[in-house]
Amino acid sequence: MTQVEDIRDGEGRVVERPPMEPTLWEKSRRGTKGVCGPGADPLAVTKKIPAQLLRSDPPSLPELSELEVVRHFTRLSHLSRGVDTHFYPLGSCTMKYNPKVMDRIPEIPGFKDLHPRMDAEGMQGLLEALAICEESLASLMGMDEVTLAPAAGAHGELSGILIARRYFESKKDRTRTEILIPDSAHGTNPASAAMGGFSVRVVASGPDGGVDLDSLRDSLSNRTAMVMMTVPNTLGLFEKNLKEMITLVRSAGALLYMDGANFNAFMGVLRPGDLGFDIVHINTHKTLATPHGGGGPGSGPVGVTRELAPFLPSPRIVKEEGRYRLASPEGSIGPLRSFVGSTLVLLRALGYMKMLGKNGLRDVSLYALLNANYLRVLLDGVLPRKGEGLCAHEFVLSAREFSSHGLHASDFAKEILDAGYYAPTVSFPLIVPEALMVEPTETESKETLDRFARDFRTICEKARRSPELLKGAPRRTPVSRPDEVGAARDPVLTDPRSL
Amino acid sequence: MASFIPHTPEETGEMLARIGLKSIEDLLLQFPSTNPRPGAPDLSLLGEGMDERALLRWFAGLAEKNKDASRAVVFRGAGSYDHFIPSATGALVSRGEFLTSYTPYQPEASQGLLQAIFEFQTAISRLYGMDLSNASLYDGATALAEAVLVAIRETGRSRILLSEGLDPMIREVVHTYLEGLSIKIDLLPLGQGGQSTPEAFKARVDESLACFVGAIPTFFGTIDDFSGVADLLHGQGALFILHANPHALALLRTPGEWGADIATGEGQSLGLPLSSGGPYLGLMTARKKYVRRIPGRLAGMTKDSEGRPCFVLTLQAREQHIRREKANSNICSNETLLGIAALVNMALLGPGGLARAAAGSLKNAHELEKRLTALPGVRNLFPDAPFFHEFVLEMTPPARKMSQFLLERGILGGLPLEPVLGPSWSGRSLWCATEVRTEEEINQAVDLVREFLSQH
Repeated sequence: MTQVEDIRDGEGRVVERPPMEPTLWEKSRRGTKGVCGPGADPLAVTKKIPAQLLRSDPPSLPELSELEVVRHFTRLSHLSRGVDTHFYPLGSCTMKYNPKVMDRIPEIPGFKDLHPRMDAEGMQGLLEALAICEESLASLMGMDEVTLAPAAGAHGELSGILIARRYFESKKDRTRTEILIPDSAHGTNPASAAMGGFSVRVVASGPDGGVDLDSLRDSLSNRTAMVMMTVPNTLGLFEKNLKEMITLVRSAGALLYMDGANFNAFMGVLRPGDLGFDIVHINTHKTLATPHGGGGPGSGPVGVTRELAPFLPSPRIVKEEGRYRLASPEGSIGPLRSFVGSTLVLLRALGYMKMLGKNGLRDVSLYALLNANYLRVLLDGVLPRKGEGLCAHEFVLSAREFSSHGLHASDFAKEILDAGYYAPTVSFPLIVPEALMVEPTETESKETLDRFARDFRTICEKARRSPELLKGAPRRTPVSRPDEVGAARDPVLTDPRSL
Repeated sequence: MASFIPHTPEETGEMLARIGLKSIEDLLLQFPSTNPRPGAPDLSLLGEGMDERALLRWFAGLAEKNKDASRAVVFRGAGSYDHFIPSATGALVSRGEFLTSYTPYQPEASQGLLQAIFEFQTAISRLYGMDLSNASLYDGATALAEAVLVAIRETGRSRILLSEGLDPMIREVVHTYLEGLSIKIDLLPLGQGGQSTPEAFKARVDESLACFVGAIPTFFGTIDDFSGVADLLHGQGALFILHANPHALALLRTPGEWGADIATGEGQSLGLPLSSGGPYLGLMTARKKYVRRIPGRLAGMTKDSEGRPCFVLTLQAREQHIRREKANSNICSNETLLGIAALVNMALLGPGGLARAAAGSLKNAHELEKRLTALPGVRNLFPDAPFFHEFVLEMTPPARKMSQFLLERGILGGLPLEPVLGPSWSGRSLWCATEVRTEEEINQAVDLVREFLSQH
């Protein structure tokens, strides 16, 4: 699928782009009938409602035939890239293959059309499946209990933070108002801490990108409620001093939180609970292969130690005399969302764990490590890497040397799009200037990695030779670079034709 | 067993040699050794794996223990609704380019996704009668909690007022979200008529209030009247937030028409399956003046460097990956795919189809209410209040018993309210009929309730 040769031929020339699709409102023709579903004549029934409680005009929504709608969205899909169509080395996001069999699980009658307020007698199969999911996750994480409630990783962070708050309240310890977060962390960590009512103290990283032990020691105090760590960190490095850090945090009386966004690096190999973490979230849409859906849905189950389990969000799934039911225990932080969890996502994750089993899941991480290290070695010397030695499931390169040529990491990303791939994560982590974060995942073949490395090398050579060419990328996508400044200055967030 | 790893043994060997390792296990040298923590479940619990057929059979065994809509006709709503979903929706939304893509941070390779989000924002804004919408939040409850946080930040005040007409579960979620922020939460009671009263507002709205949140329709199905509320709140510098069911808004007066500043909703009723509770779709709309205050992703229309109209994520300076602890919210993953499903449904049905569906719900619910309240000993708790597609039924026998009786006979009846609202609600249940219910199903439900009453 690579287009590299073509791009070389086309240097300096504008390549013809695939056409864009008009919006639904542009295509709309008044009076067109779409799908006919069950219903009634609005005029015949609205007399039951006082006129001041009714809307004055029908909403300005598009009117199209069913075929027109099908073509519209099929065309839109052609203007986007997914793992199904392209290699997606987007660091930190674990864009692995999402097995198609998992899409069939929600289609089995019994889950998709089940009402969440069904009486407990009518949802025994669901609750059993979710209980097994909790237990399976607990065994992977090495934690005592798991909540399936969080709708995403950041939601998991918020629950962990509220659990920590409740824990210290239960101990009548009111001095702990700070959460320590390394400067390399995902932005969600500090944002979640702030939402939970904590102040954030940033811990500096050392020259190797790991958390600096002295900086951690200086930051810890009797105000520290929790330390949030990403393992492996966002450079794709396992903290060398992790055990010492954990001892330091413990002796300061604070809790340890693991952001498990990078759990694909050591699933079935090493357990966060065994390492000494008190609270752990993982992202099923990363590690457990549930589809990212263009930004969501995800889910972010959280595991905790026995000591923290009473504070887990409600509802909890409990089993008594062989029957399951939902309960709201007294000490719980309360519900974090509607209903028990994003069950159709969780069932996919459960299916993935069941299908792969203990050894298959371990293999996933081994091959994620293999692919990342192989690609790292192939790209050795192309751009400098932050960190030394083996990497975990991803690695971070820096395009800083090109800054003097006016080139940024994002320019490389655009050229990578033209080469027929999705782009690595750019400009993150913040501690690496002009970062390009590459995560191949275990589901990519050696052939794909070889080709990507070759193309990436070519792009870097091109950047050295004629940097201005990268500024014009991408040339093969439906559009060139959007005017982001203009978009933010005067935001157009709805289709003007709908007014 | 399957692990979706494409490597041949030879390739694995070549790759290891290139890295300079002998065995794949050598990759684990970077990790410390640990001992299993006592008490946590053992890894062996994960089993040895299974193939596709065995996996689907295993799930089918669990699924058949559930009384889903194919086994019990749904007369229950309370935040989750059984609606018609066109067949084309699933086919379009499951396309791999949507299903397996990430957040469109690379706009040039994500124009289709960005355009779909932009169209979703447009459709939701028009439905709610508001200026703008974001790309989605987790679900209706968290969307409302986030809206309340906007009001608290915007006003700098620490008291909020929630209508008793809001789903108690959603009110609890707001409580959880505000747990660490020292906010006082007051309740605005509904009057005897199932609507808020001006007196109740006057006693509770003053200069200490950050916002009031009302519901369209209320949890009890009644349609509240918010005449004068916007002026009252704005006069005291408070924000007016409405939480509305988008299915109902095809007919009912919109948050925009009531003068709301922010409006939220649960998008499940736009044709997402009941889904055993999730994933659902959090909707958030707002007036233009709050565009830089609201959380969540926003897709905007702009031009590319060659002058072509195109789409891009915009105003990202509000978000966690830029602003970190100063961000408007911690949200990152949202519910984009479900937003696209809702958009596809809206496009397939069109404004006429949506209004017909809403009218069908209203008609069926009113028919059901008429038939049930004609039974001896059964009354509507709010007989004089206008209602949309839900109503509270009151009778002497415990509603939990009735629910069990009906479920055993293939009907998911009204939601017993005692577990939600306390012992005084023992004989009360919340019924719903949507546009998909047939006359025959309504007859069956009424007959069974009659039979239940004759035995209790």
